[in-house]
Amino acid sequence: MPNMPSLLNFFIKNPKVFWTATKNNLQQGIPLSLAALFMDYQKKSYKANRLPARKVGAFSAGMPVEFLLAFDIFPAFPEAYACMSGQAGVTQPLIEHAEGMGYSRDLCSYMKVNIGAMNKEYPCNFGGCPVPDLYITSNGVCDTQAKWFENEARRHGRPYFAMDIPSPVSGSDDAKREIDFEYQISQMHDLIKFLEKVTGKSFSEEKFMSIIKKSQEVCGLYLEIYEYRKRFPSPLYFEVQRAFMFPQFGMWDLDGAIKYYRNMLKKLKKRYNDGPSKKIGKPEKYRLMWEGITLWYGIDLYKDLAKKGAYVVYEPYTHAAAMRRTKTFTFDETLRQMAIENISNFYTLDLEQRIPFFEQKITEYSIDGLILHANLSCRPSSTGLQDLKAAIQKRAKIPILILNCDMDDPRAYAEGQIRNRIDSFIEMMEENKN
Amino acid sequence: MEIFAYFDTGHEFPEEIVMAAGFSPVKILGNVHVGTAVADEYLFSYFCPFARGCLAEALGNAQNWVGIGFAHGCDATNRHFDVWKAHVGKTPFFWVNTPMKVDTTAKGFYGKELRRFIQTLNKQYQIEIKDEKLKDAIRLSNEAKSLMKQLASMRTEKDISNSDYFEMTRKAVQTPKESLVADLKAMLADWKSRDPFPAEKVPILLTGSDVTFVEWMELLDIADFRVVRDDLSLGERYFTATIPEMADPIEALVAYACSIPQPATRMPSDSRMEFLVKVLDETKIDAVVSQNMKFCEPYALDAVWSVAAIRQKGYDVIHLERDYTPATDRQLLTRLEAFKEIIQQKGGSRNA
Repeated sequence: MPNMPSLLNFFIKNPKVFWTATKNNLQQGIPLSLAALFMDYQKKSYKANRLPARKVGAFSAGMPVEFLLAFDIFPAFPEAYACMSGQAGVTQPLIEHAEGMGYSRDLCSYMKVNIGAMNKEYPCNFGGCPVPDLYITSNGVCDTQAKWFENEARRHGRPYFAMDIPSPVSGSDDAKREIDFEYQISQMHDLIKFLEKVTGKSFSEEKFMSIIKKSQEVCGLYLEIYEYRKRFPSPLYFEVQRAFMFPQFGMWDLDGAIKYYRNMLKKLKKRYNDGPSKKIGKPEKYRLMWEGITLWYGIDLYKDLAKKGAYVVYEPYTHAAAMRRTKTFTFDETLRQMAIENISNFYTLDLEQRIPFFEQKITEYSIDGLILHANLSCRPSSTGLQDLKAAIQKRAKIPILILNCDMDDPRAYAEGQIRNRIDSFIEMMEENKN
Repeated sequence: MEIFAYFDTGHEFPEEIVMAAGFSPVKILGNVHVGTAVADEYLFSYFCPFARGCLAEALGNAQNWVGIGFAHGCDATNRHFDVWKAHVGKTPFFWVNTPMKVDTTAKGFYGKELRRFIQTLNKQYQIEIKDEKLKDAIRLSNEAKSLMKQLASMRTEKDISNSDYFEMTRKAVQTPKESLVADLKAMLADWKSRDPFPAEKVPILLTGSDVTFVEWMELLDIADFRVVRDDLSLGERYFTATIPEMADPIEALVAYACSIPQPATRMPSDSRMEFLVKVLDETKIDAVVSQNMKFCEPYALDAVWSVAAIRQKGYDVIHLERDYTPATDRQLLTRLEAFKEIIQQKGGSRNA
């Protein structure tokens, strides 16, 4: 049964929500070409929800979407829908709705937005999701994703597959990593069996590899564009970059994503005709790095920073979103590379690896200050931030600000307090420059 | 015997390997009577207070431990490992990535992970953990588990307070196993001589986050609830099954870990629910108390459906959120007392 209304029906039922979202979306500064891609995702999700022959598979961040595509399954990405809803500024009632269903206030706001929106039958751009035919997930980013999908699969009576991604820790050696990679590869074979069983189709390595070729191309283009963020001034700041990552991360239309990124790259090459690495031009007054998830509802924060001459030009979060970094040519080689990229991800590095990684990026992106987002509903990403702060302050000698907020729940955003802290942070960066 | 301490959010850590290495495994449970300020320097106050309590304990006591083992529990455990490693003195650290799943693939991985753990211990302490030693440790562990099971089964018939039961489960993970067996035998004799189950007490099943300090069990005693069954790691998960005695002791440990009722940190949660249903079917209980320690996400995620599923079976359930404090929470107590009145008016869920 389709559960997702058309935008028109949604507008008729929820005119206030619709207008609030439209107003807030117009504040984001997202290029029209990118906005058009998101509208296309909404359209395709809506269509997939209504075609009985087309299966919809919900996946969580870090799962190898290419397996879904190899079975002609439309990839629904509830986390992305929760992000869009955050940008649209309509999350709070959805979160409260999910809390009314029994989900604790301390739990992930992405999850609650999506569950709330699905229960209220909101379309994707407002946080909802078509009820999928199957769920695939992992604990690679957090346990919540795996348990969120498990709960939803149970609620909707759908099959569910969870991939167990071993957690990297400080001091792991190659022998340990090898055990982890093998485990990942075995689970990818399990995933194939699961998808064969659910779809009744046989897996085609050839088809899979043709999809991988495209996803690697998309990822390569994304990373090539990413390099231009080192330039003065950077072509992309966090508030746009966070949306810019989705066409390659969500993989709902690889051809469309290739076309979009190629076009963007062409424009950048023209704009910076001397390549991505040379830093000719005038730098931003303060170039910032941001660790952790963005504040989806918090465009005003980024605008405030910009007014003070501060721009976020690098985030491990959006950089790590590029999962197919290395070209591979055989099936076995591809699975191994996917396993490596799943475990050795910028976003989930252990502390001992994370510190030099940050130092390196601070130099490469000419960073003046670092913001660490201590995210109230994402504890795994917030663990270890005090140690990271102490180490980076000592080694890179730049000001660091820890912000206690939430990625999608505006109730955790104390505007006055945060503005004061931002002002002090800017002063510290200014002093540090002098 | 030297103490090898371990941090484990469930019952995942393979104590028997540490025993076979010649050390005494002791589970770190934190001290709820001591503040977590020393740990809060490294972990935010909105993180699991139990984990912060454990780090505080390690920061104070690690010099007395020969090693510290970490079992992969909830999703923040690996980063907790990093934080501990950076701050808890020079004690050697060991990571055991217990799998999230229990299928054939996960079993294969876990076997390799346990063998790697043994190799690391051998190298660190210049020892050789032989299969025979591991089998001896398994036998000793099983003896303790069997005694605990006998003791726990007496909760439905005898006057065994919640705090007595808690003390038995705490001892099991903090006492050298040789002396534990002697203590459990003495306890068995004592419990057998106890008065019958008190008529005024309401027999309950306790589920949720692990209870790691006796004061919370005492709160249930004050409210006249008597925990006769549970699915906690400091509880039935620890002793509901014994480790199979197989030719390959590693395979035995893997089989054991994958067959016991799973905690909320493992997926899928079906086997957890199956165990709860089995418990409800085999024991006469009047109600279910589900409790979630503040910021314990795995159980908060499970509770939404598990509480509903228990209700669907016709049981009265109360779901509570609790803090990590030894102080009596009067608000919780009031809720528990009101719940007890409802149960008693109905003559117990099953007899309503």
